[in-house]
Amino acid sequence: MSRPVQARRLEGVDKNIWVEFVKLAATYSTVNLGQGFPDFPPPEFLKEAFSRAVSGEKHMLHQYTRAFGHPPLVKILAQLFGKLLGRDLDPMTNVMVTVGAYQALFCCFQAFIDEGDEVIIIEPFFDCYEPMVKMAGGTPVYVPLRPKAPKEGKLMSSADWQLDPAELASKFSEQTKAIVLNSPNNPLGKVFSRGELELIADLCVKHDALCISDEVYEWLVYDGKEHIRIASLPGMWDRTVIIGSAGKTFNVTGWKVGWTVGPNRLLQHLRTMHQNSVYHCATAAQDAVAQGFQREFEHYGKPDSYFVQLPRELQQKRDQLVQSLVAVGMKPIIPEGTYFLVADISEFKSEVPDVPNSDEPYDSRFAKWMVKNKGLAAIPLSAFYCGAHKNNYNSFIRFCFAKDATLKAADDILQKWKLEKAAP
Amino acid sequence: VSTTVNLAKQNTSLVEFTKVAADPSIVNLGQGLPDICPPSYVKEELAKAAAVDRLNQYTRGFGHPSLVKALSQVYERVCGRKIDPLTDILVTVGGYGSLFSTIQALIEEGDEQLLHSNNACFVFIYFSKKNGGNPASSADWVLDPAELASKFNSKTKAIILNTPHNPIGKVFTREELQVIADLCIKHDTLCISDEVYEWLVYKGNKHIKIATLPGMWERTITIGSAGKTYSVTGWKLGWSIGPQNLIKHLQVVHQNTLYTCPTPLQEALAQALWVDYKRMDDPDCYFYSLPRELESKRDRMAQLLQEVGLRPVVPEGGYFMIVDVSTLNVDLSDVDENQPYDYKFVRWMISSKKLSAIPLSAFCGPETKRQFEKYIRFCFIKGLETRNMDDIANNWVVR
Repeated sequence: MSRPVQARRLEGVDKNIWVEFVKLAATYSTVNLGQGFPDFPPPEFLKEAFSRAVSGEKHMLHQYTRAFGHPPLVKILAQLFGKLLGRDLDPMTNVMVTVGAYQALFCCFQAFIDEGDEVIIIEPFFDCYEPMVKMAGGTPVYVPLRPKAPKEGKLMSSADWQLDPAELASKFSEQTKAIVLNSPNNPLGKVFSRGELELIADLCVKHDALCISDEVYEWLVYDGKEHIRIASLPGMWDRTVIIGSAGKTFNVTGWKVGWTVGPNRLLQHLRTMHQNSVYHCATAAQDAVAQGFQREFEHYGKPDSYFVQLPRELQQKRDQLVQSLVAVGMKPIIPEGTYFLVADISEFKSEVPDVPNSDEPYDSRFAKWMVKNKGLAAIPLSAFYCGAHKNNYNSFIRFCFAKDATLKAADDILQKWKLEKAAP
Repeated sequence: VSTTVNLAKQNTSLVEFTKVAADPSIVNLGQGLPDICPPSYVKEELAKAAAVDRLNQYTRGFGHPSLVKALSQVYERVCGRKIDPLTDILVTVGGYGSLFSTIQALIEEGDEQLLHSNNACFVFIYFSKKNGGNPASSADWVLDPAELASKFNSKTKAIILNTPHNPIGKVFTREELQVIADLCIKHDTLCISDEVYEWLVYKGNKHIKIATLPGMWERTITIGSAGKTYSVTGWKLGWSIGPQNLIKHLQVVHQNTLYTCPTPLQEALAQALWVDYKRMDDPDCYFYSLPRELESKRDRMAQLLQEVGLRPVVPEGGYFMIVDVSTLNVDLSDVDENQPYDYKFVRWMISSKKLSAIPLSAFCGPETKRQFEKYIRFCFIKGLETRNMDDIANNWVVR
């Protein structure tokens, strides 16, 4: 063929950080705190629900279910999110199930973004937003969270990374179709406060912009913080699509069950996109997730609720990792939510020198060095910035602490590393 | 709303008829939904996979390693060529997901695409009946070679081939595939070959992969489906197989749309494929036992339909059968004129005979709807006990 065989929409979206880093971690035998998935099992009640769905009497659970979401699942999601949002939700029109939150994001960008539309993305961001906006023909417009110095002697918190209100306002234009909000935020772990959400909401209303609200880590908030749903703020329900994930809620990332919640006027277009891309989602996992949510709905707020126990468990792991990183000389930013933690590695420029005028950001070189020399894998923060901004915050790496055995192994590595540094 | 969505809104017929027939008092022979059980080892492998903690978390984006390995082995055997599991295969959300990834990856605005059964957005070519008259078999539906050749031009990017064919059930012969292959090579066109029903071919027919014809491997994406292979449509796992220089673009689409497919399902499918790979020389292999089971269902359904006065077009493959309903001469002229006859007939059949099917013109572009409006499509991968068949027959007799 004289012209390229691939379509133009693939321009600029072919690179993927995960493909590279997953390969790297697999090549060297590493303790992998890089990619975000748990190394401990999902809750028993959910495993049992899946087992019932697969081996039970209802053999039709191996066949197609309703394309926009298995009825038991959309019903319980409508009930739960109705309660959380203080609204009556129709399971058939206000909820749609997707193949993970990833496919929900894809449907949103495809459904709402056209050539010439601008989409505001807050940096650092989950890396897929950028290529998805581009593939839809849109233009990403970036606005950074900027770190404020922490109080004397204290470690930085993800709360110390904030938007500049004037800067944010300046990013909205006539072309702004949507803003992507991710709270709790991957990679920083920031949980946006009510004030911060109101700032964003006011601008959305003023500019008639949509809000694509990626809330997959909604249950993972620590230190008594509250996850506030922007869709519950005045003027926001009608312009917001909320995205959620069973993978993150129930520690079953491999099930790829996600959902969107929002007004019918927006969801109808997601349904059109969905029926023309994958049409149906796998049935059995939806059935099991429905049962999992039913159980949680009944235990809501009680001490044995998984939504209470899991964040409690993860908070301990967070604190454990923070201690180990401090001991080795890194400066962790305490996350308010998610199971990710970002640490400042600028101290290590003596051990791993910076190379001026290098194409590769410092944190990426450091991360690769750490994989090869310490057998520990983490992801460079620059991976979560657009090309032009990769060197703005390039001395941080991201760890995932939703780990059991792996966290212990990481701790051993960090202890050993600390001793090596101390030795003359 | 985006222009993407506006274009996509045209495809709603199946959605509508699926809803209508959800009423449990209606015998639903419309949607391609098996109500036979998948083989027990398939279900057992899924239960086993889900019990392994690691298998409930993310796997490799382009396809779970054990699954792409199993697929490469099965298809190496079928195609007689080496297939690299990491570069020549992409696992997708059903055959549907493969079609989507392929078209997103390779088709541009301005490209023309040939669809031999019809769709609103594309250049289409439709089947004509061999020797005119009333076809009794899907083999009687053919493409006119001269007409097909006339549809190819410099803007033609791809042809979409579906064999065995849904809805007609045609199994393209080697000669017919050669006609298409010659044109693809002459015009440097891609071939997107939807072969989800590849194992479901009946006596006297052979499924041939167009990718195995000379000059075709390098320009063909072949699509398969776990749902159709193992009667597990609810698993929504499919795959695209082809040369690295094409598959790599599908992989880019995949990493930007859903990234990875569910892990336990992929592991279970891999194990099931190994079971059948090992017995591919054995008639008990599910790839051969399922079509044997379906062939007798096909024959019983064809007979029943004839008994009630309809004219079935017996399919050579797949699990659908199209049926000429004009033989009954049901007068529906008082119903909405703008609707094609088959839409009106199906609605009439649902309400008066408690039986549902899909109108064939749902599968046609606007120009040919009127031509195909005397056909409706039945699905026969159904339990269809003798009792049900009698019920259906009785409902017809009582007019």
